[in-house]
Amino acid sequence: MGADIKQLRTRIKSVDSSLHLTKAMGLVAASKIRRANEEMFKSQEYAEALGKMIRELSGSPECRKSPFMRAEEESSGSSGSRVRLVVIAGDRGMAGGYNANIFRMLKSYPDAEVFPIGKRICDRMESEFVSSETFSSEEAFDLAHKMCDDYAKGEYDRLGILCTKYINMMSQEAEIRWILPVTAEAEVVKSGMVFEPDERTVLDAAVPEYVAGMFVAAIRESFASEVAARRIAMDSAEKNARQMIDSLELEYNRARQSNITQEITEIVAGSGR
Amino acid sequence: MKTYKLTVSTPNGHVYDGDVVSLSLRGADGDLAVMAGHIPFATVVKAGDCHIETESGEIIRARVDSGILTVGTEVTVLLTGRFETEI
Repeated sequence: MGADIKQLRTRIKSVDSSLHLTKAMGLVAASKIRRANEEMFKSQEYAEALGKMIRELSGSPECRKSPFMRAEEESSGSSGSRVRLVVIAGDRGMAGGYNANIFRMLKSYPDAEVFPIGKRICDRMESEFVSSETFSSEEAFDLAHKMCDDYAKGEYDRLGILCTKYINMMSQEAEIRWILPVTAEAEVVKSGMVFEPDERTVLDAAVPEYVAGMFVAAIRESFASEVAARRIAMDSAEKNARQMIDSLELEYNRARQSNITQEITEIVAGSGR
Repeated sequence: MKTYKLTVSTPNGHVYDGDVVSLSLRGADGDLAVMAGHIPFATVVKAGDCHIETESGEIIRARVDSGILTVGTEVTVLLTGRFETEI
């Protein structure tokens, strides 16, 4: 009986220390949420402004000759659909299904050439570590220029970002955003704007900026999702740990009580002699 | 002096938002300046120096990366990867 009580006490102690850990991680995530959200909205504004402009430009006949607007059927006929994916996962685990959802989605593109961002996915792909938490916009621009140059050279046919969409605090969803080739708008929005020197030059210059903007937006959004997912995961872990401690304490007290009862019985039985 | 609304947007958010008298920077065809009442146009911006004259007459000097300048009837937007003001 004594050994049982000791075992229970150690269990309670270890669950309690896990509780402290999850609590601390939850608090850290909570403190990061606000900043992560602000950065997400800021980066979205930039990408949206460029996206709007590209949509406007893509309708013009001059721009259809741009290498970034290559129609998919054209290229797939000669070389097949070579897909490049920029995959954004977290630097750390303990965020519920955040990383697992990304990995699961990636499985449906076994032939894609992957450019990982975030420690978890870098480890998985056995490539050099690129942090998703501290990924700067300069790095995004470098990557975007490389991607656009390769695309213009025809090294691949489709560029997508596999990231996590932030819906709200409670739910996040893994998704793929296709960014290249730029699809032409069916309806041409004429704003009467003059393009200098011409539409195509502006489009060709805007596309790398747009791609970089999309990268930054996706990374910031994924980070906000990661932090929110971790907060939720830690909340439920905390709840589970508390439940576990409660039931273990109940068991411990029962064992303790029965021990005492037994001792009393023994003493009473002894004194009666 | 007549002013117009200028927004400088980078991936890190709006770094400038306010009424200005003029904006000068390097475009695809050479240096250019935009003042109030300019016709709507869009051009490619090259990396270099950028000067903004604000409503109060203060001049903001900054370094910009390549980007896009869109002059609209209501608001002028400079989209660039970097906008670093000199102190």
